[in-house]
Amino acid sequence: MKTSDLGLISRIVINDDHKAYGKLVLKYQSEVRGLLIKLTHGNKFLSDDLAQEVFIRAYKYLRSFKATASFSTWLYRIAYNVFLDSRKSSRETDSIENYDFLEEENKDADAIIDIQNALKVLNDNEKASVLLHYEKGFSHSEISKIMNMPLGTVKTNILRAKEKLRKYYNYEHN
Amino acid sequence: MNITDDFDKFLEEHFQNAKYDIKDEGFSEKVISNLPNHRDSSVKRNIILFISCIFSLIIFIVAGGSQPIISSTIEIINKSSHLLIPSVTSLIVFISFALIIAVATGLRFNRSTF
Repeated sequence: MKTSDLGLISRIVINDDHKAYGKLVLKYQSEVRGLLIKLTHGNKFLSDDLAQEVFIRAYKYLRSFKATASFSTWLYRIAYNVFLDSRKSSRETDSIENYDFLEEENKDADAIIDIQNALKVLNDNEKASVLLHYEKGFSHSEISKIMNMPLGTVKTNILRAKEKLRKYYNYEHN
Repeated sequence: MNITDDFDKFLEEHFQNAKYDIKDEGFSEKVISNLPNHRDSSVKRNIILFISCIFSLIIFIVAGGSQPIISSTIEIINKSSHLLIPSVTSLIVFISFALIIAVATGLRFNRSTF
C-alpha cells in the first residue's frame, strides 16, 4: 500500500476529511468504473450508479479497513459485492449498452466493444475473474481474496473462462 | 510454448489494449456530495452519552452513592497524612471507584483513535 493512501485514510478516519476522500475517489474512480462498465456489458449509467455506491460503501466501512491488504484490493472487493447485489436486485445489467462515451474519449471503440461481446459468453464469476487477472493484473490468490472464494474455485473459473473465450475467438484455427 | 501459454498472452494483450482511462467529469464531486457525515452521528452520540452521564450522576448523588466514596477518600487522605493504614473497606471502595473511572476513560480513548 502506498504511503499516500494510508495518509489519506488516516485523515478521513480521524478528521472525517471529505477532501482527502475526494482525492482517493479521484485516484481510483477510473479503475473501479472501468471494471464495473465491463461487468455490466457497457451500461455506463448503471456502472456509474454502482461505482458511486462502491465509494459510499467504502467510506462507511473505512474504519474497518485493515492495512494488511492494499486499498485497491479492498476497494475491488466492495465493487464486486456491489455488482453481485445489483444482480440479485431487479436491475438489469445487459439491457442498455452505451458506447458513446468511448468516441467522446477518442478511444479504440472497436477493441473495447469486441472485449465486451467476448465477455458475454462468460458467467459473472468467470467474467470478474478474467477481468481481474488479465486486465487488472491480480494474481489468483489476490482474486480469491477480492471475490471471497477458495483459490481452487478461482483457478477453475479462469480455466473455464479461457476455454469459452478460446471457442469464441476460434483460437485453435489461428 | 504451448497453446495455453500463447492464448494467455493473447488474452493479456487483448485486455490490455482495450484498457482505457475514464475521465472523472464530476464523478468525485457527486460521490462527496452524497457521503454520510460521520461527524454528525459522532456529535449526536456524544450528546446522548453526556446527558446519560449527567443523569446517572444525579441519581448516584441523590441515592447517597457518593457518601461512601467521599468518606473513604477523606479517611485515606487523613490516615495517610498521619502515616496510618486506612481500613480495608475504604481501600476497596476507593480502588473500585478508581478502576471504574480508568476503564470508562480507556474505552472512550480507544473509540476515538484509528
